[in-house]
Amino acid sequence: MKNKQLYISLLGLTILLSAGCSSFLDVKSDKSLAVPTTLDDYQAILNEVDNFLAPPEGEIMSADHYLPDQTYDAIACQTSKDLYRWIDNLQIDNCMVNGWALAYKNIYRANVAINGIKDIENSQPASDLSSNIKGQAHFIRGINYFELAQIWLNAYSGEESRTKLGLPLKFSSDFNEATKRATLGETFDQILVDLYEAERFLPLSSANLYLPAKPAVWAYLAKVYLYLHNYEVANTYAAKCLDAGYQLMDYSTVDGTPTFPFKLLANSEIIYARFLSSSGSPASLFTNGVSPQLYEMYEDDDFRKTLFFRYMSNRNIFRGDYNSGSGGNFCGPTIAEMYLILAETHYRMGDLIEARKYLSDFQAVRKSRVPTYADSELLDAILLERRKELLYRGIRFGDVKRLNILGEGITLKRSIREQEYALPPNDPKSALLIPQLVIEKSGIEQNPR
Amino acid sequence: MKSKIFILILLLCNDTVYAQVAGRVLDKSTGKPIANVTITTDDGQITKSDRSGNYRISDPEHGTNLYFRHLSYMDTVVKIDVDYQSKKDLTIFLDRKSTQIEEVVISTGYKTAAKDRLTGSYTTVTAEQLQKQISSGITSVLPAIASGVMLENNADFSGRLMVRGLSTIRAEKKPLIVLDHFPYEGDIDDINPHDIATVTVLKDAAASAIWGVRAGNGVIVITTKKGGFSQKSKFNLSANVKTASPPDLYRLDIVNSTDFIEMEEFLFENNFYDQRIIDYTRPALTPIVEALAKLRDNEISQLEYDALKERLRAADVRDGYLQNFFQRSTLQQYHLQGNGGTDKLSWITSLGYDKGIEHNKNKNNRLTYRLQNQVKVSPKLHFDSDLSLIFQSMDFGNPSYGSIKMSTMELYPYAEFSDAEGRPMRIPQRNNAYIDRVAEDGLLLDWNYYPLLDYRHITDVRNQSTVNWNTGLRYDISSFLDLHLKYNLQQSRAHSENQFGEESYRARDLINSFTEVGTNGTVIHRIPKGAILDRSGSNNFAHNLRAQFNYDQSFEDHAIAALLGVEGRIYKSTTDADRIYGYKPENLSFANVDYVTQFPNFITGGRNNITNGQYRSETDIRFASAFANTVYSYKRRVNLSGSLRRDATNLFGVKTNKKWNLLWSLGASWLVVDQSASLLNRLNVRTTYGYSGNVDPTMAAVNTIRYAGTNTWLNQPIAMFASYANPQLKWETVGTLNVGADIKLWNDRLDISVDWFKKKGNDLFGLDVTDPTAGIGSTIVRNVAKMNANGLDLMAGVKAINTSNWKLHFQFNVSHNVDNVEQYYLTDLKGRNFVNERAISGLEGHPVYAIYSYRWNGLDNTGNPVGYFEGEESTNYADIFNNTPIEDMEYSGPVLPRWFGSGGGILGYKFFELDFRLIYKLGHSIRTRSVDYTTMVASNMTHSDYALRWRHPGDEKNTSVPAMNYPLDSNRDYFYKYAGVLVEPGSHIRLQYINLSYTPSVSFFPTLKYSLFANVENLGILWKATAKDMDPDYENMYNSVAPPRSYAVGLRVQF
Repeated sequence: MKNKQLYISLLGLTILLSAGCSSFLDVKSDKSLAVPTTLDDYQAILNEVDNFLAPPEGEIMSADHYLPDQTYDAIACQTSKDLYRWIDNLQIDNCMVNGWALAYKNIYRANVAINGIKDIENSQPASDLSSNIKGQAHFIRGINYFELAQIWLNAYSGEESRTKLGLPLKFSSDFNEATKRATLGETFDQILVDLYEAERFLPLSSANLYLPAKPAVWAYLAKVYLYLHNYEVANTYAAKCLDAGYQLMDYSTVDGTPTFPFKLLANSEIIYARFLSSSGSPASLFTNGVSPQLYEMYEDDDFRKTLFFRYMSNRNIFRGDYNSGSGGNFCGPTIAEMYLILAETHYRMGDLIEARKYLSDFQAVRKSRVPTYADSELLDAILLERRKELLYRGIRFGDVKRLNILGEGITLKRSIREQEYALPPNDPKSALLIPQLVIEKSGIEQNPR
Repeated sequence: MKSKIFILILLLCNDTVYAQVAGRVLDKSTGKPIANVTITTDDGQITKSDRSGNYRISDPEHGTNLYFRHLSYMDTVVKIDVDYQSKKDLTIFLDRKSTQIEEVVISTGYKTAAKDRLTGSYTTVTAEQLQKQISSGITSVLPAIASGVMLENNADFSGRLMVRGLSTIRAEKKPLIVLDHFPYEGDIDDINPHDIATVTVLKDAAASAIWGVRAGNGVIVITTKKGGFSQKSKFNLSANVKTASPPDLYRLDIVNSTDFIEMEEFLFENNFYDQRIIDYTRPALTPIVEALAKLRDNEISQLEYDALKERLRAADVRDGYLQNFFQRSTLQQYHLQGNGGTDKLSWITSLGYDKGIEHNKNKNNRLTYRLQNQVKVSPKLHFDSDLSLIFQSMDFGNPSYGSIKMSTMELYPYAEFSDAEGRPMRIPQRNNAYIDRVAEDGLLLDWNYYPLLDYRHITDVRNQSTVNWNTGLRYDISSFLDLHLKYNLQQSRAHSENQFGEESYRARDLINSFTEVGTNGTVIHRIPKGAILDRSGSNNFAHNLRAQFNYDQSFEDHAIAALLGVEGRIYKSTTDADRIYGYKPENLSFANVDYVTQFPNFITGGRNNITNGQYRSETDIRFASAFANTVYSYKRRVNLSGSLRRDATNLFGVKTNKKWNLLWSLGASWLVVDQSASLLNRLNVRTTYGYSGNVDPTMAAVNTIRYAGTNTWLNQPIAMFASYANPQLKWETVGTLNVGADIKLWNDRLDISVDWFKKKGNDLFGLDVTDPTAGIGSTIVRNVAKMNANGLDLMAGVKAINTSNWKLHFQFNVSHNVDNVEQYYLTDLKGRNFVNERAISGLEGHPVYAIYSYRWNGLDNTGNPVGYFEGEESTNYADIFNNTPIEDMEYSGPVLPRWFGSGGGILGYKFFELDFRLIYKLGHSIRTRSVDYTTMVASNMTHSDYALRWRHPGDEKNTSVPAMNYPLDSNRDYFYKYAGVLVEPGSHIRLQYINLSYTPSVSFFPTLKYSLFANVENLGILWKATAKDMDPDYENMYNSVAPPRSYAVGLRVQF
């Protein structure tokens, strides 16, 4: 009798608990956690602030900015010091942003979104929203590969360079997938594929500067084709941006009294907002002076001479950041850059009249007096305008590599405590060493020295 | 007998006459049957009670006495008179011997059992021992009295209790705290020590396996005081006060003002400050640097500069703190407890009040209330309820040392809070010249920071209320089987308000920073004037429900005690925070601000969003468990035990089959000798082996994301990856073997208990380095590690003298613990990755936490430190620091003590008792701090070794502190910081407390007992292995000194 009671109560208890258990344990342990499955989840993944940041290494290695010796001495991070003077550094000390890791994290997020949306679209028809997010992801993946390629790969020099070392191309959401380097040619093929996919899926315009639309894709296509010396296509895409209605800002009307005269919002020139990563100790590199030689190149009738620079104590500080000095420097495409691409591509295609027209249209809003150039001076004038207009935007280092392929013979130079440092044209060091950790864990080939 | 005996006899009238007396013997306080009670009669009958407490005496003579005797209970006599004769149910309740600990009863939280029947390793601390130290919580009290427990400061878990060292590398290292029957989610120090009856530390696997996954690091079971049935009402009152002088700031090893000024002058000459002086972000400059800049620009004369320097050389920021902010700390504690009981109901209730004022006037108040009842609803049904309430408030007072800073830098040592006339002085937070210039325009709020005034405009108050309710039903299904249902509710609500008044620097600084001045001089405050109020709150709920069968039966020589149960647990936690701008406390009005638009910073022009200070999180952690435990005893001498438990938790994204984990243990003990009156009174040997595990939340089978914050550019939520699909990950497992013996010698005068243990962890979680190209960062958790640990716990008590007048007892706890990494994947074997001794070093063959250092070869004749690189002497610091492989580094010893414990003695004479305890930690190393020039100039974190630095050729013979060179070389500083020359032995012994008590007997009022005591705590270090002037437990924290000696007096009354 007693045993019966016991068994019944035991049985009852067991049933009660085993029935309750599975749902009891299915409750989310943290309300903010989710397994990404919805379009909102993928958009939220792409909203990560890092997705708007580009690797800073190229900008540090361009010679447009300048540190006084004392400031250089005061930098604690050896990696940034070495980047600044083109000394090989394997980024072991981890004291600054590792642009490689940053860009590949962005690429991974894009991959998760692309693969996830593929699954969603398998079960339900594609919508404007799903296309848009897919377009954003392809866009982010494409431009990150492009930014990596300008820093870690050799410049593109035509068909014969297609078989040179390229980037590892990642498409999977599985982080265990092996890493292998593609060729330079395959890398740029992928960049173009991603940008074309983005063009296909993104809308014609976007209400928010931080969300890409077709013009942003065209601007990057123009930049990439220029880097690939394909002037005709670059020209076409730059022209499409002009047709999209972006306007050059007349610098004569810009108020120079605020510390930072330019704003990101209500800025008719900006096609897409993107920034150079500045976290970590080398941030000071950007808040410091501009190279005196570069500053001297701005004529007195150039509005940028005062709007871009402010003399503080012993040097000129750059204040022309379209992001008004809030966090990383603006490095996205602008309509001004498209004018300069149009001028250069027309010149290279032999249409000097068009080249001159775009250059003077551009100069008309930057200078109080538009100069005239002889045919022989025109290309130099266009390239100099590129340098003057696009400084501090992570563009110069790629430009130097591209132009040296064309025989411009630009040597980057710096002098620190009377010691001269230089990066000669087409030097192997213009393809930065891949961080040691990547080489050790993946076994991929290091850039040759 | 002589002692007071309460006898309770329950009579069930029955007219039938039996020629025998039968009944049960029960414990008076718990109502549990007592086995093995020897029952004798005057006429020579002898019998013993069985496991259910039943006994039977045939044919007792009229008028005979029944004598009930048991080792752990008071002897009890019952006279069989006419009324009692021939009763078949004579239930006798025995009083437990209060001061005797012959049979220690251990509470594991699931059951209480005589220590004899347990095979595992336990330590029990009594209320009496706890009360020797005056504290509002037991964390700081336990290490001085409990064996195997240590408070650790030097690894990555500062100030945390540790039980028997490490058993995992990466997973949780905290011991599990159990309050009565259930895990306690609050802070252990919230529990009023006066309400605690015993603290039991469960150390080995058999002890902890019953608690499952969370028990891998040991379990500390706190048992509160309980009432007893059939007791007269008793009251206990205790009151004490403790006080201590402010911490001795002059023991801080910071540089003196003269040296600091000298350093600033040196750096100024080398143009170090040039950038800082003109920097457009207007960083703060110390008064000396500011004056040097003015001197250079001829704004002040050399004479003026010299006068300032002379004044500041004599200034010491510590004087400012001591004079303006510090005072003696006090702690007052009052506690009133009453208890009593009838035959059906027992009660205990207590009220406690603690009021603490810290040396910087932080006020802590705590009110605790408890009511515990046990009710016998029927002979078979018992009900109990234990309600405890804790109300706490904390009110932050003056700045604590080091909290006043120069912007983000430490304060310079010559900082002055007031001038010669006592007027408050400013401490620069930005460039003073700039602040003065913008002040002339009169558009902004005063932008200066005055420490003497500022704290008066800040209120920081935290309130917390905690409810802990335990309730249970026990139903005796039969004499050998009980069903227990237990429920526990814990709720803790905390609310804090941190108000920065409009006059506070923090509010003025934010308002000014977000001020825009239009071209026509209009002033726009993007953050309106007024106070800034930060509020945060948390609400934690825990529900525990347990159903458990207890089976306890004996047959002749055999006895089986078993339990079987299931339990579920929900722990919900909600926290939120918000911020109000433009707050006017006088009328509770506040303002709206624009969080979406970026506004220019007044100084830099850079655009930023206004911080909205909003935060919310909700977690809901669940556990489900099934458990069983059995002990089989043979003749009470041989015990075999086994336990089994399965745990599951709602880890997010984890496949269901991986949510469950099985833990088990086996054990055996043998009481070899148990006799009185001989050399060896008692010898008990025991051994256990158990298997426990740990889970890592990143064990997810799919990628999981966490919504965290808003992308202000898009005004859309951001999701970050919380864990990456890592399906290969499995539970980590730890096996623990324990072998122990309990020995008593010379009439129990020497009492030794020794345990040897070995732990082996397989498949432990370790960080594996991954290729950043994979896109998930550079590390991922995998089951890549193995470790083992072994050690020893020894407890020894000696009763050297034990007469009616004199008492001299000694007691020692010795713990030994060595852990060893067997396997841990490390790809980067550069020495520099191993120099942070607070991080897991993970080098195979060495402890989990170890100190590695660069080999040191003294200073050369230019004051540069010399190290080694690739076997050669070297001063190439970049190479030494960055590229020295780990095998060329020196292993300088473990971070955790190899030996630790406590010891002490009691000397008693009549009513007086003098009691002292020592704590010691031995066999570990400490990386001492010294001057680090890079940090010193970057953040003003100084060290007095600066005065000992190399200055002239020849100094290298007397000092090992490198010269200060400019430009600074951070690699040189790192090399010195992590060089072997700075590692010192950490072994030390400290005197924790001395307690003198006076407990007289009051003949005229026998129920009244009282005791007076005086106590000194933190008496300091008695011995240390290092010759350096430092306290090894506090050496590696900047701005911190050992707690000062404290004095307490108190009174305890019982009536």
